Amino acid sequence: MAVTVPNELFRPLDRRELNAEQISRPTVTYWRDAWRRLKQNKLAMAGLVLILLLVVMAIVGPYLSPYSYEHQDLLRKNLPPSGEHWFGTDDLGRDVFTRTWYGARISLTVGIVAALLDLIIGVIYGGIAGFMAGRGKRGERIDNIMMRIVDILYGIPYLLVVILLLVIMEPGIVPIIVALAATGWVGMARMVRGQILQVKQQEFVLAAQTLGADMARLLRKHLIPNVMGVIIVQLTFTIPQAIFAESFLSFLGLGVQAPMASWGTMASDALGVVFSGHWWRLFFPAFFISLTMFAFNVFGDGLRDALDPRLRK
Amino acid sequence: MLRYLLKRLGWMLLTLWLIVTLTFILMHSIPGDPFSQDGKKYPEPILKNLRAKYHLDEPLPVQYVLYLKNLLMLDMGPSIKSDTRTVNDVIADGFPVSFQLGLAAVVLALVVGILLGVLAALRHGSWLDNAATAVAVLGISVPSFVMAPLLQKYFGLKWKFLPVAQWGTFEHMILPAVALSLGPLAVIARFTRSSMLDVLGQDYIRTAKAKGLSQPATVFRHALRNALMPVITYLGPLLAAILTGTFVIEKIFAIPGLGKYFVESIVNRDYPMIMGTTIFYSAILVVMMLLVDLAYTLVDPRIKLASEED
Repeated sequence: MAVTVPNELFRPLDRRELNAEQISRPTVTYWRDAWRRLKQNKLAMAGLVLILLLVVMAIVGPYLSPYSYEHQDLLRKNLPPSGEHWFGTDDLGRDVFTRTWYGARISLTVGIVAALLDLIIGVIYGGIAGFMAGRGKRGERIDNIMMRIVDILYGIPYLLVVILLLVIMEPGIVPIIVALAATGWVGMARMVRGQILQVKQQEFVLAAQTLGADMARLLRKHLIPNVMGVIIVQLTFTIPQAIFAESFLSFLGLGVQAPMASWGTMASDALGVVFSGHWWRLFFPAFFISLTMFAFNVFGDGLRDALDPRLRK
Repeated sequence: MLRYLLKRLGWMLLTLWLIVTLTFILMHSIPGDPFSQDGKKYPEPILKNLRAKYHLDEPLPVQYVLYLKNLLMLDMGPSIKSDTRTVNDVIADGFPVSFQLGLAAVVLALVVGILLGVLAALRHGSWLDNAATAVAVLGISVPSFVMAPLLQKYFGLKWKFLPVAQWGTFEHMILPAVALSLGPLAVIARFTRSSMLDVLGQDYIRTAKAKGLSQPATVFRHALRNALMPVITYLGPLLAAILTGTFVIEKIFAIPGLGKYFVESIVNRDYPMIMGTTIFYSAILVVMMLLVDLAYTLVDPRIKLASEED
């Protein structure tokens, strides 16, 4: 017997109920959530402000004093800091204040660009290698070949690479950055691979795979966010390492040439002052390298906490 | 596992051969040669004889094959710069010194760095954490060429605790080892702290605490083991680099190690020396890279490097 339902029993749905399940607030993405938590971290924000200040000073700093970075005044050499020369003068009578901020341009550019290149190349390369490792015969082979290329790049003396680049390219800051990036990203790649080897064994990765996530999505959404801490630590070290690598190259006559200045060359030029007492020549470049490091480290710590998927609420 | 090891051994030899070949090509494509770098001007006949003595007058492919043949018999040729010593002599003299110094520095960096990192992570956000960050920041941003003379000035000259420079007794090793360890110490402390924080937030740590394990047992038996991954990763190339000597520290402390040859051979275009130091360093490097991969599977048995079929 068929049940007949008379039409009168049907009532039109209240229009308001149609939208009951609609999501009215904007979705909080991973990055927006991270930014919200980062803003609450006072120390991290102080680090960010400090980084911005250093960048602004690198741009306008050299114009704040009446001296140019290369102007020599042999009658006024090795003067301690005073109202006239805020950071003193060096052994050729050049103004250390102007040179410090002029040097900041080169050092910060070298450090930040090298770090960004490391980040992009290293994370993608290491991510793919780590994902492939142990994934069947083909995966094992891909991981193996990728990591042996890394070994080869570690093995070739990078001074030879720098000299060759300087022969091919115009001397200046570009071949230094290219050389640092060409050899620097391998460290990041190894670090990311090592961490991914560990993280990808966890159940949530298996769950995501079961739901059909492909490699790009797994890396982007699940694996990389879980190795963010190590990536950030590695990055904060890349910046000072690039600054010092540049100064070492200058020391060998392959980096920035006098009278140009960078923090690294100023510090290594001032090497003898430990024994002569002209402390300001070493103090100011070393202080600002440390300040940069400090700013990037506290900012990096805050970023690490903000990006930690386990702390997400 | 044995098959995996054998396979890796084959890859190691292939990697070394590629490094040798690429370095050989690079070295000969940069301008200058061993007799153009010391500022002397050799008369043409002498130059010709010198070049003939070191087979530099042969075509490059012939030189390459000749070099590989000698290398197979572990003969890395004469050092052009020193006349009397071979590359093998230089490595045999310098390596033990650099090795001792490097090992002392690495052990110091590992012990202090890991301890500092663990403490900072356990007291996340406290003054101890901030102090450890400050130590790490100073350790990495005061370069060794600044730290070393400072140590010499205060410990060597002013307070006269320790010898200022040179090599010989255990006391001679302390200052350079400290100066050398600061950078790695800072890096290890930061990595340990960061991955310790990751690990401490995981469920199995809560389980370990909940079943009543003491804090040292939770931290050292359960947490630290998984947190050591980035330190192990970092240790591979670090050991290869630091055990074969460092240019700056050995120069400042006048230590007769191997470090200076890595830089000077390239500056002097001392071809056999460039090849010798590169091969020696690379051989240690590829072994370290294998050990790192094996250490991964020891620390975290879930990690599989070889595919299941092996």
